[in-house]
Amino acid sequence: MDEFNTSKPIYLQLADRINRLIVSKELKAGQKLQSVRDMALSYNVNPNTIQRTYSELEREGILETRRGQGTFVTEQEDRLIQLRGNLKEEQIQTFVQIMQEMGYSSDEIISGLQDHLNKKDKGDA
Amino acid sequence: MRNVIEFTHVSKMYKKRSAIKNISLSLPLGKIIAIVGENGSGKSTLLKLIAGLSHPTSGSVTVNGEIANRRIGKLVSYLSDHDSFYPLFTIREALAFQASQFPDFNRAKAEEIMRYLQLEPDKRIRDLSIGNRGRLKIVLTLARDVPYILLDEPLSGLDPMVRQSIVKGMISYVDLESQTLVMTSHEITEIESILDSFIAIRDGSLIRMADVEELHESEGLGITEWMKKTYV
Amino acid sequence: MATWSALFKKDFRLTRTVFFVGLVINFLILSLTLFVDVNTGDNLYLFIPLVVAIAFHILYLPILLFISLKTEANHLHLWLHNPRSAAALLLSKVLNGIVMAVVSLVVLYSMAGSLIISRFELIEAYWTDTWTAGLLIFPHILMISIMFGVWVILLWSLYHALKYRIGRWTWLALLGAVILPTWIAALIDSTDLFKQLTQWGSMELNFTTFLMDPIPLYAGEYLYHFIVIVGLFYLSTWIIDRKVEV
Repeated sequence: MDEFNTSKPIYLQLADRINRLIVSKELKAGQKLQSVRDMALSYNVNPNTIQRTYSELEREGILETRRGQGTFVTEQEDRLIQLRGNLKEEQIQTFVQIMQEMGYSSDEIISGLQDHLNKKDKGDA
Repeated sequence: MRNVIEFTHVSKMYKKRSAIKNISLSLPLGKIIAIVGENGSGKSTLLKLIAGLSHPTSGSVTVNGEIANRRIGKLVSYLSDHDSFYPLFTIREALAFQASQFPDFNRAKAEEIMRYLQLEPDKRIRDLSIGNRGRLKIVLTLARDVPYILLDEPLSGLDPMVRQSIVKGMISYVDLESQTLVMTSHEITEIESILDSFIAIRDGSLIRMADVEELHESEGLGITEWMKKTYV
Repeated sequence: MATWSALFKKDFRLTRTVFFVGLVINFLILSLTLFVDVNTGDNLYLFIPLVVAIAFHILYLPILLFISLKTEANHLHLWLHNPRSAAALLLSKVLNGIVMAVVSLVVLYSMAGSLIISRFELIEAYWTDTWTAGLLIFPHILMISIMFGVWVILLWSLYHALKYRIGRWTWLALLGAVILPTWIAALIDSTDLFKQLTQWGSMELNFTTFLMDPIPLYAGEYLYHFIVIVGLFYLSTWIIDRKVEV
């Protein structure tokens, strides 16, 4: 069972998860999402919370609700590209902030990241 | 008529012991709400007052504008923390009896919840295990199409598997478009993710009523952590 | 109707054991009677156990209702949560009690009848009177039984309305609830006004074969008792609907 942490509203944590699923293409553009109740069951949360998550993502233009049909991932490519950029930016920001708090310089961060990615690429090959 | 449960300056005395002290609050439709607090803090009394099975010493309790006496049972489905059936019945008979007495009892829904919770309809209630009695109570209470469902400690004494399936049952079978679920519980961690709001009481007084998300947002705390901080 | 019949059946099941035990006791009394019959000569003593058993039926409804209500008290929230009026809920119990009492009495009467046939010559001279007296005793026993039964209902309701208010001394209040009205009723009964109000519709009963004086009866008195029964019943339903707590 997925656990939520208590430092952030659950509906926002769920929105984050859905965003990640979209960026990683597990949820594709135009794909239909589970109904509110089914989603509530799979995450073990209140249906009102799911409703709130869907509304929030709709407001942000990531999801679309079609009357009588359900909720879908938007087909607007530019919005999805923007989302992809935003998520990347968010993660990098967090990472960089932690590194800087520990005293690493920008050069150290870049070279460390480069080394890590090189190693990882070799490992994959 | 407002679709709401309303407490107005409600106090309840048992002999000389004061169980509820001057509580005013209102519970709207479409929510899952937990009443939390220590043992003996008045959680069960609060539910009984809504169900009209207990009467305020002063103040008033109304459900959709009607004074809550026992006949408010037509708007409220109440599950006690005690046994809630005639032990001579089989499960099937208990369902049939419930259906005969409550016009709002949804047979199809009851059958569905019963299958989901894996109850065998031909068993006699007096032969049921504690876990199965707990499940049966849930079936009888949730299958009614009424605005308010009140559950007094629906999870207590049950093993984790049963608790899990009952929590799932609440998500599936409470219709938040037209119903509100109010429950008391010790096992807050297990129900926290399905709650809209909570009512915290201590020694019969209301100390906080808030949306769970609001607590997360404003204080970064879950109910359990907030209680640990508040109740010491 | 389906609602009510389900309620009635449920109430029957709550007390059917008591009902069947009652019938078994009836048959034991019959056996005792037959035993007496074999060991004594041709006389009417053997009817004594039967008559006693019939008389005991004034306790039938109070006992049955007490057991039925006591069972409900084990899970009182279940009974009280039923959205029907307390009158409907109680009436189902009272009617159950009446049906059971009638069946039990009919069984005893038919036993008495079958015993009388062989001894008919002993009472032939009194037959008409015995027959009418027997028939008259039947509804009177039921009536007294219902009156006591309604008292049980009232005291039970009072108990459950007061248990959290008074606690340990509730029984004292109940005692008061019996003594006070009884005392008042006794006072009222002896007033001339009461006599004027109730002593109408005279129906004298004459059992000339074994009683010299006629028994005076008044329709007004029956009406009075009927009103008392309905009044106590209504008071109980009011208490249950508004004051009883789990």
